[in-house]
This record gives sequence, structure tokens and C-alpha cells, in this order.
Amino acid sequence: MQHHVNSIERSKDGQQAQALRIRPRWRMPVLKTVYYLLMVVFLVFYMLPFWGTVMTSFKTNSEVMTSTPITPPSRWTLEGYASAMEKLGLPLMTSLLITLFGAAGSVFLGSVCAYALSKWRFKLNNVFFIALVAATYLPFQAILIPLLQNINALDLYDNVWGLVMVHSIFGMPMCTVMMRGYYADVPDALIKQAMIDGNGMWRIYRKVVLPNTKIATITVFVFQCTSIWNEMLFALVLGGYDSKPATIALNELAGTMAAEFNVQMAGSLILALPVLVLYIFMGKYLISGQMSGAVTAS
Amino acid sequence: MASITIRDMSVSYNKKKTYVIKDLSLDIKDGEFCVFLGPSGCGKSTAMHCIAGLLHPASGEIRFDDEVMTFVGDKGKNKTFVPPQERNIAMVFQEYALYPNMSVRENMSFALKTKKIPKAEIDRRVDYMAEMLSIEPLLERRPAELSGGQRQRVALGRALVRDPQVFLLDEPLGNLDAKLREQVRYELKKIQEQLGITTIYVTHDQTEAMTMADRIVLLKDGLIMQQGSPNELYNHPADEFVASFLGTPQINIFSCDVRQENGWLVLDGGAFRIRAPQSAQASLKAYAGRKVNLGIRPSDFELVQEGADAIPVQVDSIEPLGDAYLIYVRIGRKVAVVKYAGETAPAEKELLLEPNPAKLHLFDPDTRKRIND
Repeated sequence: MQHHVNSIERSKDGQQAQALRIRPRWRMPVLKTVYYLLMVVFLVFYMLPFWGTVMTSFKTNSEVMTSTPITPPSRWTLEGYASAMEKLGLPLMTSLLITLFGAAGSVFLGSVCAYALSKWRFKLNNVFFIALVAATYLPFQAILIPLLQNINALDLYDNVWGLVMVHSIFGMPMCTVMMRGYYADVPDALIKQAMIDGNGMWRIYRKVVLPNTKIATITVFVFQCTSIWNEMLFALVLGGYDSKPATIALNELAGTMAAEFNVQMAGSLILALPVLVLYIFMGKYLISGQMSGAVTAS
Repeated sequence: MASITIRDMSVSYNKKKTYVIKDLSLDIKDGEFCVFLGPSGCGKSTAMHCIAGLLHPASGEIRFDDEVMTFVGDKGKNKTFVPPQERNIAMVFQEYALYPNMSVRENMSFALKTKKIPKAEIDRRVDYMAEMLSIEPLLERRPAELSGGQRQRVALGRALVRDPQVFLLDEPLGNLDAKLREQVRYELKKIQEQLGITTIYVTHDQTEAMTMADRIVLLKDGLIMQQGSPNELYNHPADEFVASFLGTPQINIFSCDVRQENGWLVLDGGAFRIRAPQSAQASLKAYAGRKVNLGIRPSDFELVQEGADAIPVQVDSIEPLGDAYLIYVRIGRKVAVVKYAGETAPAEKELLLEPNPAKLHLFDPDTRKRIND
């Protein structure tokens, strides 16, 4: 009944005090407990599989059969990692190549498009932009067969550079949409000033726009790297034996081995590691990049 | 340096449905300091952007000396357009537009590097201009590390270091505090005189216009209302808008009947009655029996004890300015303001004011044009 006394005392202070709704004191700890409990439940839900993966990856194959996935290994071993690396070594290099060049290609194309769309007026400017936004919603399954025919015609089937090209082109709309937002924050006066200082369109892009939107470029690049690294559909359809990225190789690991869970889990962790590392090191830039549109650039 | 000629320039932002500027013609002499003055939305910045080549007019011509920079024929045909980077102009924007990724030195030398001027020459020019503007200690800093006033100087320096043929300033002092504004105003005028660069300065601040301009071009709704020296515009405003735009506090406007009394035209404002000055008699004749608007600047009143043309007023409030007083008075039902330069403010509640007959401005109430010479 504490809160009753409280509100009566407050009401004596007049109208303004009455307007303040005093929350009963008993309610706060209860609510907090509920919040924390919920968070713990979610945390367990998310982390338990990950925990199981880590634990299993350090077990021997025989221990995997005799213990539950979440119990820590009785003998820690890197056997699983060694076997996984044997199978994943080359595909990981392929993935790295496709990811780096694919992300660089799509970020470059997206950046140039975004620059043109946000800073230069030309006929059908908006039509192009709407088409690009629409392209970001395009389900890749819908274009998969004609794309395969095109890639075949270009003699790029089962070729790393074919996958690089496809990722560069299909990543471009998303990069454009993201970067256009960042470029819109570059003041127009800066572009006009650069024009008056004797610079053409490309030099303004290189000397003024790009150096002032580094964070945006990094953000979009990391975003692209993550999605290309994790991509499987294009790799499955357009890549063969020679251009097999790690996602496909990992899938094969699960399919062909006789339930060597420790190897599969080690392979999964190896595949997830670069993305995790990228996020840990680039987190600062990612957050500031994602926030940069929130307040006007000074 | 160059003279600037503008002929019949019209600008539209909506495919010629409405015009921001309509048939503007203007001649700016070589080395002149010309101020485009006017309220927001009058088209002054638009006109400047056209001169810079940042905007295409719907029709008209812009020449620097004899060289055509922009030409658009009547139906948008026979276009000539020299892009901004080839016009050899320098411009300072209100928001300074310093490149955030470059140091002050790099900002100032950017345009020169683009022109492929040798490094030694660039350094010489930048150092000279930095010394002139007292920004030498700032040369290695980034724009984010500078105060508003310093940024403003850097922007000026960056423009001047290029030795342009035309210098365009778009409200460059807008972001400065009052004290700094006064100082930079003085420096800017001094540098312009020293270098003799043809300058166009856009502002809505009449004090800046009055203090710096060789010539003021007063714009409203895309039309030139009047152009001339600051004194011409202040002392002989061509219409009521010009009269009320220039001068602080604003000119007092009274609606008066023109009546004939003993062969002399008299202005009857209801609560007062004054004889029209000799010089205005002839031009006022056509208005006998009709109304005119009488404009009297706050500083053109004199406090008197008696007089045939004295206006009886009641004091409403008094604002001290330090060196003078602003007295708000009631004349009939209208409130007017008077600038009084005496040592102490008058203590009386009722005063007699006599306007200076040589400084009365008479305007047609319909056309708002000036009537007297």
C-alpha cells in the first residue's frame, strides 16, 4: 500500500504533482525480473545450438556418439578441424576470392550509380532509381535458369570469375540503394564548389565524394562480403567442381560423411569465423555508418 | 577581371510554368562591387547561380566581357553554355563548403592543382593569401577544427587565391555573429578594392549592402526594383518597397489626402496636416483630391516647440540605443517610430515633431511608384 500513501502526499503539492503518475514501488523489481527472465530465455535459445556446435567440434568422433551435444568434451581435440580443413581448404580460398572481388565489384558499381542518382540530374533519374529498388526485391530463383543460360553462353560456367561477375551485378542494386542514402548527406554546396574549382564529374567523385563517405563504403562493403560469403544458390547452380565455394563444400561434408558431426561442426565454425571477425573489427564503422543518416552532416 | 552583361534572362524551376526571374537585364562594370539585395525568394541567389553556370536559364544571355558564357534563344534554341569549371570564377557559399577531408592548405590549393599550376607557385599564392587573411597558423588544420569565423576566412582565401575574373559571394557572412560579421565585412571590402576583382555579393541584409556596395541591385519577385549607389537608393527610393526595404528602423508610411489650400497643396493625414514642399508641388498636382502615401524616415523628424507643419504625437515607448533613442509615438491611430539623437530622452508624454521637408518621399498608393523628384 506504499503507493497509495505516496500519491496522497504528492497530491497535496498541487495539480502538477498529481499529473505525475507514480508507479507503485513493488512493480519495478517484478517487471525487471520478467524482462531479465525473457532475455535469458532468448539467450539460451540463440546460444545453445552455438554452444553445442563449439563443444561437438572439439570432440572425437566416438565421443560424439556417446555424449549429448552440449556436454563439454572429456578430451579436447582438433581432429575435427584438421579433417574439415582437408575438405574445405580449397573451397575457402575460392569463397575468399569470390567474396572479395564480388563485393568490391558490386560496391564500385553501386557507388557510381548512387553518385549519379543522388548528385546529378538527368532524364529518367527517378525511373532508374525505382527500377533499382525493384531489383533489390527480385527473388534470385526467378532468374536462375536464364542466368545459367547466359553464363553458359559466356563460357563462364564453373568459373570463379563468372560467380564474381554475377555477384557484382546482382549486388549492385542493394549497394546503390544503401549508398544513395549516404551520398544524399554530402552537401550539394560541396559539389557545386568543386565544380567551380574546375573539376569535372569524375574528379569530384574521386576527390570529394569518395573520401568523405569512407564509412559508408566500408559499411556497404562489409554487408556485401557477408552476404556473398554466405551465399549458396548461385554457387550451387553456376559453380561446378572447380569453382566450389565453402558453403557448397560444407553442405557436401554433411551429405557424404557418415554423420561425422565433429567434422561438420568444425567446418561450420571455420566458415562462420571470417564473418564474425569482420563484425568484431568493423562493428564500430558499421554502427556509425548505419547511424550516419540519422543526423545531418555538419 | 571582367565586366558582366546579362540580357533578358528568365529562369524557371518548373518548365516555364512560373518564372523565378523574368527578363532580367543588367550591366556590371569591371572591378565593381555589386550587391544583389532582396528578401528571401526574390531570385537573387538564382541569378548568381546562373552567372556561375550552376543553373541554366530558360532564356537570355550572360557575357563576361565579350565572351558569351550562357545563351539560350527564345524557344530554348541555339544554346551556348560554358560549364562552371571553365568560367574562371570563384564562389563563396553561405555554408562555406570547405572539403572536410582536406586541410586548410589543401582546400586552398585544390583548384590550383586541378589547373596543374606548379607546386612552388601554388605554395607562394596560398602563403600570400593566408598571410593576408591571418590564417597562417591554421593551414595544416582540418575544417572541423576551425571556428565559424576561421572557416569563413578559409572559404574567402580559397576563392581569392585563384585570381578569378569574377568573384561571387552567396550570403557569405550569414553564419557569423554580429561582431565578426562587421570585421569580415570591412576586410572583404578592403581586399576587393585591393585586388579589383569584379564582385557580386548576394545578401538580404541591407546593412551589408549599404556598407559594401558600389552598386545595389534591389530585387523583388525576380524583378529589379531599383539599382544604383547605396545613397541613391536610400535617398531617392524609386518605390515604396525600396523605401521600406532600406533603412533601420523602417520608414514610416502615412496615407494622406492631397488638398488645395490657398493655392498650395497640403498633405492631410487625419491627425496631422503638412504643406507639401515646393519641389513636390508640380508632381503632386495630378493627385489633388486623391490619396498619396507619405514616407518619412525615422531620422528625418525634428523635435520642435512649435511650427506650422509640426505633428502632435503621443509617446508610446522609448528604446535607448546608446548613441540615440528610438521613440515609438502615436499619430492618430497609427504608431510611428522616430530616431532621436539627443543626449537624454524627452520626458514629456506629448511632443511636436517636424519632418524635414527636403526628405519627404511621396508614393502613388496604387502603383507604389515615387511621385516627387
